[in-house]
Amino acid sequence: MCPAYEILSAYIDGEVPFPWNKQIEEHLSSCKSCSQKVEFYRKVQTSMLEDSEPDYSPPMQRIWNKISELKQSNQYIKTPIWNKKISIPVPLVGFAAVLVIFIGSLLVFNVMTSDPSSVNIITHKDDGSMTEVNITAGDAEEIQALLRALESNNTPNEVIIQLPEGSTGFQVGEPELLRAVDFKRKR
Amino acid sequence: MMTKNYMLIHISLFLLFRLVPFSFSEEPKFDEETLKNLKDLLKIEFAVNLIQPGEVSTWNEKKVKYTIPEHPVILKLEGTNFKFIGSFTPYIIPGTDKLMLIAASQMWFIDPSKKNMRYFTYIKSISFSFGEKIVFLPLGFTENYEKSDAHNIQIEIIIVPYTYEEPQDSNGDQ
Repeated sequence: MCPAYEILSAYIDGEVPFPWNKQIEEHLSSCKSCSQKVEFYRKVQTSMLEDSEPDYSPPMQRIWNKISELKQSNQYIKTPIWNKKISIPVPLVGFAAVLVIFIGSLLVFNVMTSDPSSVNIITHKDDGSMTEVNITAGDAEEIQALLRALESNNTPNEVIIQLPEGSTGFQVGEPELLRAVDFKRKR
Repeated sequence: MMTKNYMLIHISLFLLFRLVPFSFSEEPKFDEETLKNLKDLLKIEFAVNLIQPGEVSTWNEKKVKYTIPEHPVILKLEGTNFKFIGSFTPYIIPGTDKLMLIAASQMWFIDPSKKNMRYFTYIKSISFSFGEKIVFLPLGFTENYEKSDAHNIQIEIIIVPYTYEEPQDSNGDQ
């Protein structure tokens, strides 16, 4: 009975231990078919071991040349920036978060304290040039500060008059708001 | 490296929370040059007169206030039997040299004869020119008083554009 292909292959590679290798040798000496197979396998093995590694440098050079051409013509596919991995230190991230919260709070504070009824105050010099004044629409605090600076007291936009002792008033008619000339004419 | 980063963060946070309150509380300064060149400001002159029948002004007081268009000036009068709070809001009529004044007032008034307190409100607008005198009569006006100690209360209002005036030493109003 002839041994299987795997056993003959192992025998050629020297992987069959004693005494099985001796038995195969005895079989090969009496079996022409198996000895031809072994001869063929040995030729294949010898040719494979003798063949040198193919020269890959020409195709590799062609590939590198192609990549260089793509780079020069901006057709080289770059990795998008949003796909790049960036490593940021954790303290820096924390500081950035605090900064964002602070700026957001400032914006919210300004929006909440802005006075929509305020107006721009534009200042001009006599020569036509403009003077920069930090008063803008919605900046009620600045306007109040300006009015305080003008009036040298702490109660802008408010007048309190204490009438003299004993001054009594009686309602003698509906309140009236009119021009002085109309008032004189009316009387 | 990590220790340095933490120190930087701590210092930054410290400066942030120490300096921010000062930046909010600091009173803006306006130099004389700026105040001289301000435009779009209004100067409101109030003159409060107590007038007895016969057009005799027994008492008067003048006050000056500065404001900007669309910002009200509050006038409070306190007498023996009444309290008046008036809000005067000037508007510049676009494209003209005229003003519109909205006067809104509240009056608490004690009538000694009836021994009750009355409260009434009033609102009215009027258009006029810069420098024109406006008269506001919070209690109405009559020349036929039955009560000898009663007065007409007359508030004269003049609004002119702001012009710079040298600061005075007085602490109160002008």
